[in-house]
Amino acid sequence: MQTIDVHAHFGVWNFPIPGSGSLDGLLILCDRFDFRWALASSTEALTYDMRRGNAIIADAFAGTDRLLAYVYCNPCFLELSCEEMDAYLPLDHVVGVKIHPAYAGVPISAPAMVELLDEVARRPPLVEIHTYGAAYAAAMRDVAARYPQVNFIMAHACALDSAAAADAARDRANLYLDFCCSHAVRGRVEYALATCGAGQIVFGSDMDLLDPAFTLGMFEDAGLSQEQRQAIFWDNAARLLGL
Amino acid sequence: MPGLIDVNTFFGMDRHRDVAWSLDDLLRLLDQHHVDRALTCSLRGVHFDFLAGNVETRAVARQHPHLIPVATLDPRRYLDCREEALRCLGEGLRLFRFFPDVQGWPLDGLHFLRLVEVIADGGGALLLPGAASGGPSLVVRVLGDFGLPLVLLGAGYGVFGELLAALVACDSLYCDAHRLNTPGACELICREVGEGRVMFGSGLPERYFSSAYLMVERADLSQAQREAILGGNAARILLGEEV
Repeated sequence: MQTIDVHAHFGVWNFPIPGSGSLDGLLILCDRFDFRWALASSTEALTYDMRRGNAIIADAFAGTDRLLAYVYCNPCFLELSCEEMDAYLPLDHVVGVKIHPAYAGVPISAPAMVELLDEVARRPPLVEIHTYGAAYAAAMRDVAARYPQVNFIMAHACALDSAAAADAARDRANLYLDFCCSHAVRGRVEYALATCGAGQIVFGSDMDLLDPAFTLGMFEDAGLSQEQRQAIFWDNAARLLGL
Repeated sequence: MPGLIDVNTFFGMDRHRDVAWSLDDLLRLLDQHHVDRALTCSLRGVHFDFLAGNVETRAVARQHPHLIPVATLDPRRYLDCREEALRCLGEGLRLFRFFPDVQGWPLDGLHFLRLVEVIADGGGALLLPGAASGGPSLVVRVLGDFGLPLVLLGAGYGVFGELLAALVACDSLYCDAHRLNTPGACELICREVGEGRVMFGSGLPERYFSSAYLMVERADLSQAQREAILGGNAARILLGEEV
């Protein structure tokens, strides 16, 4: 079925991935897996140069009808992050903010991150935030309560601690879970379905770092109903994007 | 036709949490996913007593002929290890899976290498963890000269470059595909060292079967390559069958 992928990347990875970093490579994956839209952040912005990475992805995605961008914000550079949001969020094809506490080296509850989130919340944002481990779930529960007007996608759904992510999402209606990660531990999707429900689960692949088939397999085995499938692969993300 | 062979399964329990990893769970999942044969071993032998674990594994395989028994030894015990290896080989059980990552012993430990010597002399094969950085290189350096088949399980994108180099360097090295989850991973292995070096493993019952399976099924491979990965290689290399 047609899908919106809320978690993708544009740029090179230092792993053996043929075609990685090219626009064509991303579009081929979109075609292969029937992704109508893919929302991506710049790997260069994440791992090295925020300003250059954001500029490259905003420019590259302007001419496509399939790819939408997150502007990456780094709590280590608050002023620059605000400039980046103001420069790129007004563009039609830039649809939200990406935050990666681990790459930035700043925990979600740290003062620098709180300052950044305060700024993010002043804009009309959708935020995709990297979450990996139970500590992230506890922090996101607080963040979601502090900014009820912001929708947060918890990328990786806290990975091996996805039950904690699902519990947090149950308590906060503005938390959404995406399940891509290298740990395809059986039962994590089913637990979330039973806990926060399909209405707070979105599909994210982590392409082109990860093969979308890997995460699709988790949903394949979770025994989704047609309604759940529709919600997870399309409706929830469409609602977040205002499509 | 060898059919679908899964080289990476187990059964048992987890002392830390309630899990659905029983033999019945494994059998149900193998049936649900139409797996023709599965290599498996009891977790009792991994975490508690390899003698009792191997007895359990052998009994289960006698009862369910599509389960292929894999013995395990814990070299830390020293006592009984060599005798158990010889007993297994004498009974025609030639596949041995080791868990240095779980049990905490070094791959270049002499207590392990004396067992490898016995297993190599007896025409056996080894299944080993492949996820840790440095692991594939160490396996080749320490075990490559024994000449017996070495199957690395669970290598992910973080060690994929190292794994490829190890496969190039050592003709008796193989890998499973369940965490080779970057786009084009199977295709790249086929291109670099041929389709004869990668086998299908799911990680059942801990992991979602379809995460591993869909990556092979959706990969850009010829039918012959796909059949080799999904069963032909395991049949030929590990089960000594003509394919």
